Amino acid sequence: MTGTDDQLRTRLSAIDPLHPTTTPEPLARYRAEEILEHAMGTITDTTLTPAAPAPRTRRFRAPLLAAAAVLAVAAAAGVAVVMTDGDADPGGSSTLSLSVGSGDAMSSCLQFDVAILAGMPIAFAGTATEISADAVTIEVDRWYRGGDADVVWVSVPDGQTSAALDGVSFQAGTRYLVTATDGVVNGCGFSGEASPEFEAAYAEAFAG
Amino acid sequence: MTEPSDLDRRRRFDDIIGCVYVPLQRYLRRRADVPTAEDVLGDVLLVLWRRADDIPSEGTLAWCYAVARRCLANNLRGAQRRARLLTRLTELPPPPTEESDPDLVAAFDALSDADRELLRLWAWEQLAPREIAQVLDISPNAASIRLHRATGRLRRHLAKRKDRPAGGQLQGQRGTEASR
Repeated sequence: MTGTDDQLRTRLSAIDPLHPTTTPEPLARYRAEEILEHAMGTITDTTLTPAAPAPRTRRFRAPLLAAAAVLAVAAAAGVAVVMTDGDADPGGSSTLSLSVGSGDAMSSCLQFDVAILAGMPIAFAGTATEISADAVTIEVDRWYRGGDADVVWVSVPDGQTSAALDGVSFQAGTRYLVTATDGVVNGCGFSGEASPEFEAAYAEAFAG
Repeated sequence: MTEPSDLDRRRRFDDIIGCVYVPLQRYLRRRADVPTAEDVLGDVLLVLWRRADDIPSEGTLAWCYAVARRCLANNLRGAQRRARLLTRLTELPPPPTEESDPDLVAAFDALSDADRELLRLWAWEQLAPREIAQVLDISPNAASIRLHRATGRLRRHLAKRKDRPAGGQLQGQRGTEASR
């Protein structure tokens, strides 16, 4: 997050109607207990025995797939990162191998910012053409930075069942904008399904 | 691994409620009048109790906000309740901070509902983009970008107000020359 974002956030928090200086009376304690007792008393019999799990939204536990630690170091300290591109072929049609990060890689997530996007060493746009158990094939239609491969393979790390960006699985036929650092695709808003808005951000970040 | 006992479940639920109760209350009070907030808080607690085993240990608060968001939406769907809310909203005092930063309040009000909700979650609930994503049930990618765009639009609205000759009377350090 940039200093400007911090300032804006602080300024916005000052117009919070429940800002600490203007907090209305909280619910009385007895009222809180009454609500809680009512809630628990209503369904004690059904909930204290193991029941069929309620439907849940997959995203609540969806793994977040960016290497934020790498991103944070690269973005904050300007450390150069080296891409793993063993399959890159310097001449003619070529492929590039990347990976999505492991699910635990992102303990923190840099807020999306064009300035940070502009610092990404690898950036391209392409359409997912094939989804297999261990990799996604993306046919590149535009390189913004860091390569010229026609095809990029995004592999699935051990222990994950499918390649996904921020918990959302790749779909064949869908176009994506992708950045990568150190051979790992970045999530956190720095890669994702193409949209006019997202493409404009890429165009701005990688202009010139 | 053995099944948690009823007592374990109750203790875990109590621990969770101890952490999320006040934040949930504040979340609802920011978006509804007091009686509605109380009603919905009861609904939220009921859902949390029913789904106690599903509450994740990571991102617990954001998960609970997502429940509160749905409960509030359900509540507001009822026409009768909506009418009651509108009636009661008119009884709410104006935000006392409005006078302290009228440009920001006006710029914020000029945004879409979706932008305002993103900014509320970011600045009022102090959530990170991935948590905002969890609350709104969208991808972190979408949350990050939408938040970035929302802050951009807010800044543009602020800049427009700054450029107005009559605006920014409380911003003493600002230049008064209109650029357009």
